[in-house]
Amino acid sequence: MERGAGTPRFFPHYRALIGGIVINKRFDILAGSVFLAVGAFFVVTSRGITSSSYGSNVGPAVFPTLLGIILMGLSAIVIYGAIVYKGPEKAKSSHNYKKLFILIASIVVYILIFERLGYIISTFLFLTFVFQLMERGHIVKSLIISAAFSVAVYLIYVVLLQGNLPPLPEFLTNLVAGG
Amino acid sequence: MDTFHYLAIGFSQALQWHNILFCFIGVFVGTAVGVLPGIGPSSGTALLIPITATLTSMLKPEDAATSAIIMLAGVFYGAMYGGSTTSVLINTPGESASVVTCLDGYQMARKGRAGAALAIAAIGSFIAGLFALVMLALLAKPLAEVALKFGPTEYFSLVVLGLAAITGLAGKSMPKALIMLVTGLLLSTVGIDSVSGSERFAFGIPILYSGFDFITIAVGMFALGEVFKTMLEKDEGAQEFPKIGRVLPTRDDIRRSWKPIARGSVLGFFTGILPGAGATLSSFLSYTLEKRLSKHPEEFGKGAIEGVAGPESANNGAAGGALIPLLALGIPSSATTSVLMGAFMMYNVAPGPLLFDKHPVVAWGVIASMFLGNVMLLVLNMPLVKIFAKLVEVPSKILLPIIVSICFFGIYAVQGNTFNLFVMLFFGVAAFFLVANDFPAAPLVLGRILGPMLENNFRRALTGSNGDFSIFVRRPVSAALLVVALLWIVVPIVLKKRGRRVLVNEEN
Repeated sequence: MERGAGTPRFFPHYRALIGGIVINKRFDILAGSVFLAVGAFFVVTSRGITSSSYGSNVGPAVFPTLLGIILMGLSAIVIYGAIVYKGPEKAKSSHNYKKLFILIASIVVYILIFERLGYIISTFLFLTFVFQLMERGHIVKSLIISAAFSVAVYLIYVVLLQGNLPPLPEFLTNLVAGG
Repeated sequence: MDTFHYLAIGFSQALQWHNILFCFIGVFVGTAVGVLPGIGPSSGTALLIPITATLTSMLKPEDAATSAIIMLAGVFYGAMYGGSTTSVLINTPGESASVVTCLDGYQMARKGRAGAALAIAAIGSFIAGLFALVMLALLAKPLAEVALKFGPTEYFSLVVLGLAAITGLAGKSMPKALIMLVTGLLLSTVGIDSVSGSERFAFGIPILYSGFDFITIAVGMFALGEVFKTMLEKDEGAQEFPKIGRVLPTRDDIRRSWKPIARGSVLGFFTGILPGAGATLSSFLSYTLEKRLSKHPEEFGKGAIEGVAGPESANNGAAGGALIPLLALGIPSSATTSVLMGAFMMYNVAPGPLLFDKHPVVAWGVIASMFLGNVMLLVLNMPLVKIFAKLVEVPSKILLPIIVSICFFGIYAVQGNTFNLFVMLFFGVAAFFLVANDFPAAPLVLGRILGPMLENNFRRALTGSNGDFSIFVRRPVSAALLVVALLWIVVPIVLKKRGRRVLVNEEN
């Protein structure tokens, strides 16, 4: 167990906690700043809430303002703790971040085509792509699983259970109906 | 009218054919969720909510709520059964409450006794589940009656206590856990204020008027966040798969196990009632207890059946106990029960003291269905365990993309717009980075769910006191609850400062 050297005195347990865990200084400072900004944002915008709370002297702005202040205080503690932290840093992991970013990007594309191409086509494309992203090869297997999954979910959920999912695009259904 | 009368009403609900079916789907999915790595009980429950919403749409509102909660509760306690299967077979817990089961369960499997380990885990879970249910049936209504006497001041403090308890045990760093909690509470204020009708933090954007829905946040943080995490972990590939063998314990196994099962049931149940403690903690406590009481402590870690029987009973007892604060007080005590609470809210059936008065059919129907569900689980996990074990072999490269796609399906089915898919993705990515740096996800989801209740009672209490904040400490019950809440945060801090190891509950 590593122990951080200089740690804040006003939040006594922080030392022992950091002693047990290794932190990523840069991440904690960044995340702390974001949460600090979120807290400040809520405090500031609470002032603009139109209050029509007659019969009550506790308007709709009180609760979020208090929470915003608390959040700012907590964020300050985390930022301070990270700045003065001198222990070992979290080792850079050898994780395959490239794969993760491609996955996230493909999820964004999936959202964008979800309504336009309809559930079946967008899900089929997404699954096929991500199966191949996870492991190259077995393209036929990928295609079959993707097609089976997207068609089965659509049939069971929309046709059988009368649920709501984006249908096939109009030009396709027109094509079938016209042909 | 007494408990038996209410239970009879409950059984008349639970034994309707469609509720038997819902219960079966619930425990079946729960067992599968417990077995599959990469999807835990909280994300499994969250993902199933949209499907239950559709399945129950043709029923009357109160019947729909009963059927939906029966199914979702089934996932919750079913996962406790399924989680042990992977612990025993491949030394990988399917969910965190089964971590301890690896210690002796896997050793038993290596000695060719996997079947006995799985059987004793299922039997222990069954007995503990029944015990917790009987206690639940006896205790829930009296507790609800006490809470009924609470005014808004006391209720505010009670919610604070619940939040403090879960956050206090939620992660390694207290300030980080509190940050996540407060952020969740703040998120709950976005949208149209239910008291004054004024618009808050929506900036005239219509889609924000209804706020950030808990289901979108829960699916994003629990399910999607977990997918990202699992994707980066190395795929261990095909593992040596031990033979399960005979799925019946010997007479000697039973003789050695019945005491640990009995102790685990009681211990688990009472740990489960405490908010924040939950199933994982109870299994650790039970293991420690059994090792201390055993005449052969040296056998622990080498395949002692007591080390499987005790913890597995304890985690199931805790799952039952956790339903008491949820049903009677409206305070969820873990990530999964907070998702369950969100499901109640979706059907306009608020859990809490009024539940037993206003919706006795829902409350007792769910309790009665759990008797049935536990019997089904015993069957699923003893004779059929070999079929479920096959699920372990589903590779994550197939499972993960499909989970993402189920997230899409679920959120779109409930919300009907792609805006919420972006919100889900945002929370998934945020959860991935935050959780990796010890900012736990559960307090944020919990804060989002309990936020409105906390704020309403806060404002009602202050309106009653003409804006005097000291009301919260002047009323004795409220003050006592707040002191306990403070202790829940301070005691772990003091223990940690003294260099004691404090167990934290990491459900994800």
